[in-house]
Amino acid sequence: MNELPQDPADWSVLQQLLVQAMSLPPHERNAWIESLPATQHALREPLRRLLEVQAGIETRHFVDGVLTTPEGLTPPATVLIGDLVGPYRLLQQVGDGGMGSVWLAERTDGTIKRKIALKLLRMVWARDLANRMARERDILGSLEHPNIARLYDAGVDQLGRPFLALEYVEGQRLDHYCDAQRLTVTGRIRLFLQVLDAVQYAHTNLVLHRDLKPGNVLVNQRAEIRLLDFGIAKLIGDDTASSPADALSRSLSRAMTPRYASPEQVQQLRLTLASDVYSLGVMLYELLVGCTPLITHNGSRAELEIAITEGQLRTPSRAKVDASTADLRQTTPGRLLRTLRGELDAVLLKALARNAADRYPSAETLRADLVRWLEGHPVRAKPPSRLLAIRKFVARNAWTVGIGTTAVTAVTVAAIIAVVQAREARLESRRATATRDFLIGLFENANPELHGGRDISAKEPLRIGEKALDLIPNFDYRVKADIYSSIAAAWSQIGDGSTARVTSEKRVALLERDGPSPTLMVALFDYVESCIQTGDYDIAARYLDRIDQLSKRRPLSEKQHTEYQWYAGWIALQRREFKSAEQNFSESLESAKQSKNTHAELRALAGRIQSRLGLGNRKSAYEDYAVAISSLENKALTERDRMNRGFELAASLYIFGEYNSGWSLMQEVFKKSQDLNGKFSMADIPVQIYWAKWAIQIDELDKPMSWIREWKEHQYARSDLSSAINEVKISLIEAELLLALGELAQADDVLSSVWASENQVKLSSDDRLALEVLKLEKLLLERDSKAILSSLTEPSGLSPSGDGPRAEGAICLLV
Amino acid sequence: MTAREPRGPYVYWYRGLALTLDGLYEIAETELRVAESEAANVFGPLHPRTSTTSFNRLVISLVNVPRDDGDFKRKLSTLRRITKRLKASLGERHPHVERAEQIMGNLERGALESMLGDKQKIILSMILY
Repeated sequence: MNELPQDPADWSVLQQLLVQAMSLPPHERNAWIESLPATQHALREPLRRLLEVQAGIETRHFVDGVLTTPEGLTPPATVLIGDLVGPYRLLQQVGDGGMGSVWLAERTDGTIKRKIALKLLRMVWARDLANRMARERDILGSLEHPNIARLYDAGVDQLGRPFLALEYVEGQRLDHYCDAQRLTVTGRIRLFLQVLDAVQYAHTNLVLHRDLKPGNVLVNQRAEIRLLDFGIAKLIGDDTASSPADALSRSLSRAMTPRYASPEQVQQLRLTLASDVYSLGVMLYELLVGCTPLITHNGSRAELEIAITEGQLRTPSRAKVDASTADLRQTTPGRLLRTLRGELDAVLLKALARNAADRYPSAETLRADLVRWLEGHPVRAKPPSRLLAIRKFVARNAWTVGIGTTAVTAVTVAAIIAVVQAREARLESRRATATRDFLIGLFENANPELHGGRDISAKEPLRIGEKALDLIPNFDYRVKADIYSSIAAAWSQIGDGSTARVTSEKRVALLERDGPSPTLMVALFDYVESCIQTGDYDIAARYLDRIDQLSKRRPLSEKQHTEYQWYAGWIALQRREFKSAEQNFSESLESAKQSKNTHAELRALAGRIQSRLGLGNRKSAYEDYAVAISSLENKALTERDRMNRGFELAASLYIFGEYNSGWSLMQEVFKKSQDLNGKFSMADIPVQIYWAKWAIQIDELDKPMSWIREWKEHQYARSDLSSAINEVKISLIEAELLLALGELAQADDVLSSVWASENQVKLSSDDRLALEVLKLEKLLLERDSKAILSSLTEPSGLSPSGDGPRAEGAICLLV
Repeated sequence: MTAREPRGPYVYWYRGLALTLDGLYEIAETELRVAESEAANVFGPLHPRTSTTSFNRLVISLVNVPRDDGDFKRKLSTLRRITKRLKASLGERHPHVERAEQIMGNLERGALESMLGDKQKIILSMILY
């Protein structure tokens, strides 16, 4: 200590500096010393030395000691204010538990003027309680974290009383603090992240706390939390049978607070990090919901333990929340439950899973999910399936489904306004996600599949929603692109492929900003698909070229290569360039085989079958067909996959007039679709239409006739748009059937009704083509050559140029 | 993706048949020849629509301008191939196949010679639609 200052004035300054330095966390002390003004530079080294000495006093030296009561000493039964315990004077009792008490105390030897929390055991000196304190000392000695109350000192006083001197935290327990401050759900979660930081730090130091509860978390006036009481903590891996700590560990495991104890803790099974996660889950649940997740009646320990190990948990958003509880969170009961619904439900229930393996594996992963929620990203606790998310959305917003287009539209606009307001309120991330979820759910509500075939909102909310989205400036373009993607899917699902294509193009344009990102590539492939759906093959080819260009900077994955070749083949096929198509499909097939992708193999085979039939090579086409039929039996395929791929194969034969060979497969597909989706599923309308047309082509006329009658009866009650579109298609099949049966007058009636429906439903070019052909066929059967020739001199949808949109189910009557 | 059915050479087909009804066989044959080519391009050479168009054109040609034996036999042989194709596409019991076989039987038996009195009737009884 010969470097210590000689000047007494310097001693005074040094003492003040030491006190200030001691008030800082150890890892900040050096930087603070370095920042001292030049006039105090001479004191920097002495200050460091003093701090080193002090650190030894506060932790290492004392911790190295053994907490045992010296033999022959009988400690007094009680302690009082003013009593001395080691170098500490007791100032005020601040806590009292079954096993000991905690006192506010201060050092009396003048070395450091600081108030500490002095933890004393009860004067009933059980050996294991002393061991427990020694254990806490050991564990705390190994932990140094800003959110864990620090251990300053530990030892045994002159009367044999073991003590722990801990950082005194002047504050409130966590739950009281949250209520006193009326913290919102977001505020509570943000604060709770500090608890998770502390627990995670302990976990990384192989320490399980085992008694996490609001009472062991204090919050100071600067809103900093301190985790306390590692009294029943244990070291991970300290539970082997040979470990001397084992017996203590087991005896202490019953010392937990039952309300926060995990099922495995109650059952005295092996504890893991997930056990602390469970307790954290209970704490968070109570903080957010205002009640315990456990459903009990009298709250006895026995009942609690049964509830923990066997009972059902209360889903947060279904809890009974009163106005005062909600008010403490600055909200109303309804709003609070809506905030909890969905993602926070999922997070809390995952943290509280009865089976430890189903919980978050660590405090860190729970923390990460809460951060995702705060930042507006989807949480991991929730299944990633968007469809499932949408179904949940639809389920919880059932009222919007039933009240018609006007109301749905109003809700859409409200959602858009909410986005703008959220941005202004600087809550864009959270709100944008909520709104995105809302919009996606709303838009995909138009998908009849979600409503058992009822088309509930059709085009209007989509159109308004999309327009509003176009107009929102500075909206996160990735989120916007995501919403466009959903809107495009909805347009496609309600049969408006052209609008779907335009919407998809907006998505591509937004994502072009990122350069050749994986997201852009996906969007480009989706766009190519939408162009193909609408028959815009030239545009599809241009965007396929764009993918080709980008692939030089970001090579395509095997899957993308398979898709690329398939799309190129499909475009060539539609252009009747059968040779090129055959080559592309062959490449796609090889690539699919490389990646063992049975779906892609089957699709490529279906395309190559068409190419080969187009080339007049029936033999090689049927070789492919045999391979494909055999692949359909692949066990990796689900029944639905089998139906979809089977339909593609059958349709490949139909397109090239191979009616006889493919009919048995088509019948299988038709039956499977009915088994899977019911008799008149809107999702399988194309399957049903192909089947009916096919039956006519091979002269099995009775089957489609009874199907049409049943279909009309089933659809009678419907009056929505998609029903009207399908009605046109079914009527066209009916007219064809009547012509085949020679019922010309009836066929004429049906055709007239389709012409008349054009006022309500804009006929697609495919349907118009079929209508023109049927009209000519009727005239031919009537041998009215003049009317035929007259019809053909007028502009019609029969242009032989082949430039127009391709027919989806156009009905050809030439055979 | 569900396959889409292509548009066809309908204008030429219906014009050809309407002209046949009006007895304008040469122009009808020309129209059907274009329809045949379009159909082969659009539907593929094996499609029953292509086959039917070819069948009708050949029948009109055979009845309208009977040439020497060699030409007749060549056309008969082509019609036989087309009938076989129709059978593969539509199945043996399809009405069009049965009718095509019946027509082929008549042609092979030389029944055509005995029906030459009413060309219009013969042609209309022999075309497929």
